[in-house]
Amino acid sequence: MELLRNLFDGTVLMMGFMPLLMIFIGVAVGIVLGTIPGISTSMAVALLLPFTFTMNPLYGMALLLGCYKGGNYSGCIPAVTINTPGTPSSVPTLFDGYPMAKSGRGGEALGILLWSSFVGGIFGTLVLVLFATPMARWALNFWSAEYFALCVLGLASVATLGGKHWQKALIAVLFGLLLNTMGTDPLLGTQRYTFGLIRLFDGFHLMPILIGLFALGELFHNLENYKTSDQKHEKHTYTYPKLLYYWKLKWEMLRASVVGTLVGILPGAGSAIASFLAYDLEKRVSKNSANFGKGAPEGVAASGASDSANTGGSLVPMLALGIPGAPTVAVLMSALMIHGINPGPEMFRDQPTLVYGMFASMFIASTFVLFIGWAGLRVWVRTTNVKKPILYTFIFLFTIIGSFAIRNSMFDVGVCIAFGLIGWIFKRFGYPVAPVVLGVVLGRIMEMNFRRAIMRDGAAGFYTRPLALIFLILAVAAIVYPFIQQYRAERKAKLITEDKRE
Amino acid sequence: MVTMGRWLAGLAWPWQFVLLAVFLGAVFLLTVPFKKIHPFRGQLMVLAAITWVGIVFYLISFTFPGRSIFTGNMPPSYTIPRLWVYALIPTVILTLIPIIRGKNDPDPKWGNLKMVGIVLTALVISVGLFNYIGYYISSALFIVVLMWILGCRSKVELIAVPAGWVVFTYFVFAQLLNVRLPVGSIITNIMRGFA
Amino acid sequence: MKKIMGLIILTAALTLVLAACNRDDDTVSGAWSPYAQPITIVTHVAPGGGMDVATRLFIDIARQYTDATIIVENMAGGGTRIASDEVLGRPADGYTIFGAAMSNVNTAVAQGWDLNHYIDGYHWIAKIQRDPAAVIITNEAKNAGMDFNGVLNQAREMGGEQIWAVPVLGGNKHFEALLIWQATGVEGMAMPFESGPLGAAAVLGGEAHVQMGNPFDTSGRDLWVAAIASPERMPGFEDSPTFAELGFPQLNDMHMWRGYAVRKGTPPEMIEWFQNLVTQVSRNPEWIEYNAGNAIAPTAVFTEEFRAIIQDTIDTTLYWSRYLGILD
Repeated sequence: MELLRNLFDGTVLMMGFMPLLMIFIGVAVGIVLGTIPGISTSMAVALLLPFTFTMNPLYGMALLLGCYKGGNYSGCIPAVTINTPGTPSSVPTLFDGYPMAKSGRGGEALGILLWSSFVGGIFGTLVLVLFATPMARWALNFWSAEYFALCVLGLASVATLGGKHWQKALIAVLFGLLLNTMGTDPLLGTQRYTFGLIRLFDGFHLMPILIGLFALGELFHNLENYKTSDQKHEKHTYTYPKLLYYWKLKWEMLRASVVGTLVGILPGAGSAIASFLAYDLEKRVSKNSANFGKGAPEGVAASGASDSANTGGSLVPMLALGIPGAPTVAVLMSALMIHGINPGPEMFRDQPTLVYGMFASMFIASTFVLFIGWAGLRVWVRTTNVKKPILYTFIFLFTIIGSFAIRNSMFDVGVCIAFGLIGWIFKRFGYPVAPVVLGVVLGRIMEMNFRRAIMRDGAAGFYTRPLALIFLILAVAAIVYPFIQQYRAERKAKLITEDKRE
Repeated sequence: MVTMGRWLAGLAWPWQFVLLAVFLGAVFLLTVPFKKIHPFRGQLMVLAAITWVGIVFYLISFTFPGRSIFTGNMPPSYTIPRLWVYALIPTVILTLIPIIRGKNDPDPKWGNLKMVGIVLTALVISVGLFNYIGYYISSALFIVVLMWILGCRSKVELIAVPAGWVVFTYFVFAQLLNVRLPVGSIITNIMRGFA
Repeated sequence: MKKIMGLIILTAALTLVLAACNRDDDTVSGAWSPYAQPITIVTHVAPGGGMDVATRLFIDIARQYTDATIIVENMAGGGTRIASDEVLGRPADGYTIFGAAMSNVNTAVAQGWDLNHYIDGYHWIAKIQRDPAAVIITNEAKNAGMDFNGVLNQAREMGGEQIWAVPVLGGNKHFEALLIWQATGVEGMAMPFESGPLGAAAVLGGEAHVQMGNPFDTSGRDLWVAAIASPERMPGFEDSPTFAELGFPQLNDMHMWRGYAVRKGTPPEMIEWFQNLVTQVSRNPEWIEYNAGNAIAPTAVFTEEFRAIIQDTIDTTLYWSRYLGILD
C-alpha cells in the first residue's frame, strides 16, 4: 500500500508542466539522436548531462530517463528501414524487420517495434518498481561462473541463427570470437594481436563492425546488382495495422520482456545478450519459426520488447545496489552524484520523492515514446521510398560519419569499410554475419568470466554452482535439440516415402 | 612455434594482408585441378581466410607470457585464443565436407563488380582525403561523384544534397554533438595563411 | 582550351596549398588570451568516468570565475594513450589541456612507453584531487564483527585464498593491495573485476572477500570502509579508521590523484591563468561539498610539487612491475 501511495505521490509530482516538458524533450532528443547510427544512447544522454547540473535533480533525471527510453527505442528504427543497427542490442531487430521493410511491410514492422517497445518499457519499469530489491539480491548470486554459463547459452543461439548452413554459422561465430581476442588482455594487460596499432589496444569497437557488416555489406550487395536504369524503388503504400493486430503478439512481447528485464538486471551482461536470447527463445517456441529471418513479425516483437525492457532492468542494480547495469546508467549515476545524491539502497530511504518521481517519469516516458514514435512512423517508413541514388548516398554518409563519431577516430572508419567488404563477401557466399556479431559481443565477457571462475574455484565452479550448471545443460540442449528434430523429421519423411512405395 | 609467432607478431598490419593474399593464392592454385570444387571456390576461399586467421592467432599466442606469480591461478592470456582455434579445427573440417562432396549450394554468379569497385575506390579516396582537404569538402565531392555513378543527373539534386549534408553535419555533428570532424591539414594551413 | 585552363587553376591551387603547408605549426605569437578560442580539456575516460565527472563539474564551477569557454572531450582507449597522443599532437598553444589521472602514469610506466615523451612532454600544472585508498568490506560483515584486523586474520586462516577485488592486475589498486600485504605480512589473491562498481558487486555477492578501492566505491552501497589512507578520519566516514590508527602509518599515503597537464612549451601566461582558476575553484564551497560527498580531498598542488608526486607514482609502478615480473 505504501508503495502505491509513494508511486501516486511521485506521479502527481511529475504531472506539472515543467517535468512533463523535460520528459518530452528527453524522449524527443533521444529518438532523434538514436536513429543516427553511431550515436549511442549513452552518448545522447551524456550530451544532455550538462543541462541537468543546474536543474532540480528530479527534473534532470526526468530529462535523462526520457532520453534513455527514446534512444533505446529509436536505435531499432534504422535496423528496420536501412539494415543498420543503431545499437548492438538492435541487431536481432533487423533479422526480420529489414526483410519486412523490403517487401513493403515497413509500416507494419515499425508499428510492431513501437508497440513492443512500449510493452517492454512498461514491463521493465513495473519489475523495477515492484521487485527492485529482491531482484537485485538475486543478481548478486551471479558469479563469474554463472556469467560464463549465461554467455554459453547465448552462444547456443547460433544453432538457430545458421539454419540449414549451421557449419557456416559456427565458422562465423568463431571468427567473431577470434577477432574479440584482439587488443589488451582485459585482465592482465598483455597486448594481443595489436600489430603495432595503438587503436587496437582496446580491440575493435563493436559499432563500426556492426555498421560495416550490416549497412555497408548490404549496400555493396545492392550495388553488385545495381542497374542505373532502375533508380526507383517499387512504391509501397504502407499499411498500418489495427490495434487488434498488435494484441495478437502479446505473448511474444511478454516473453521477450521477461528475458530482457532479467538479463538487464545482471550488471555484467549487457543488453545485446538479452535481445539475442529473446529472439532465439521466440524462434524456438514460435509456430511460425520457419519464417524467422525472412520477415516474421514475432521476431521484431521479441527483439523490440527485450531491448526496451532492458532499460527498466538495468536500473534495478543502480537503485537497489548502487551499481550501474549498463553504460547509459553509469551516465545517469554521475548525474545524480553531481547533485550529491548517491544512488543505492540509501536513496530509497533518504530520497523517496526522487526515486518514485523517477519511476513515474519512466512510465510517462514510455507513453511519450508511443506518441512521438507514432507521429514519426510515417516519416521513417518513407526512407525506404527515397530514390536509390539518394538513399544509398545517405547510407554511405551516415555509416562513415557514424563510425567516426563514436570515438572521433579515422581508424574506426577504416574498420567499418573493411567489415563492409567482409559483410558483403560473407553474404555472397552464404556465411551468415549475425553470428560474427554474437561472437564479438560475447567473446570478451565470456573470456573474463571464464578465467575468473577458473582462478577462484577451478573447473569445479561450473558444476558445483547450480545456476551455472543449469545454464550449461540448457545450452547443450539448445544446440543438440535442433539436430534431433531434423533427424526425426528426415526419418519421418523417409518412412512416409517408403510407405508410399509399398 | 615461438620464433614463428614472434616473426608474425612483429609484422606490421599491411604485411599481414600480403601474407593472407599469398595464402589465399596458394589455396586457389591448389583447387585448379579439382573441377568438382570450382563452383564452390568462393565459399572455400572465405573458409581459407578464416583458417589463416586461426593459424596466425595460434602461432602468435606462443609469444604471450605464461603462468607466473603475476597471473597466479588465472589462465594466462593465450588460453582463450587457443581454445577458439581448437574449436575452429573440427568446424573447418565439418564445413569442408559438404563443399568437397559438392553438396552445398554453388556460389552465385558475380554481378556488377565494376560498380562495386568504382564506388569502393571513390569511398576510400574520399575517406583518405579527410585529413588533407577536410571532411566537408571531401564528403561533398564524394556525394556528387557517388550520385553521378548511381545515375542521378538532376542538377538540383546534385547541388542540394551535398550542400544540405554539409550544413546538417556542421550543425548536428560538429556543433551539437562536439564531434571533431577532420578539418584537413591543407585547409588549416590555408586558414592560418590568411590569419 | 578547357584542359589548359583546368591545369592552370590546378597549379595555382597547388602552389597556394604548398605555400600554406610550409608555415611553421607551433608558433604562437602575441600574448595569450583565454578568450581567443575555446579551451578543450581532453580526458582518457568515457562520459561518466571519475575524471570526466570531476572535470565537468570543475568547468561548471569555473564559470563563476571566468568567461572563457571550456569544453570536455572524451578520448577513451588505448590504455589512456589515445588521449595523451591527441594532446601531445596538438599545438602547445594553451588551448588543449590534458585531464590526467594516476592511471595515465601507471600505464605509461608499466607498458614501457617513452617517459621522456609521455611524462616529461607535459608540464604538470595542477593536481586537483587526492582520492585515498580504502579497504572495503560489506556492511553485513561489519555488523557481524568484522574489521580490518578481522580481514587480516581471515587472510591468515585462508592461506592466500582470500580474494581481493581490484579493477585490473598490474594496476594501481593491485599495487596497493600488494603494499598492504607486504606491510601486514598476510597474503591474498588479487582478482580483476574491470571496474570499481563490478568489484563492489563481487564483494556484495560474496565472490570476493575484500575490495581494494576508494571510499567513493562505498557511497550509496551496502559497503563499509574498514581502513582508509588518510591523515585523519574523513568526514562522512567517521567510523572508518585510518591505516595509521591501525598501526600501519607507512600505508597512510596511498592515494589516487587527478589533475591537469599541458604540453611543454605552453605560454606561461596560460599556466598562470589556469593555476589561478584551480585555486579559485578549490576554495569554492560547491566543489568542496562535492568532493567531501565522495570522500575525495580537494587539493590544489602545482608544478614542482605535482611533478614530485608523479615521480612517486613512477617509482611505485616500477617497483611493483619488476616484483611481478611485468618489467625486467
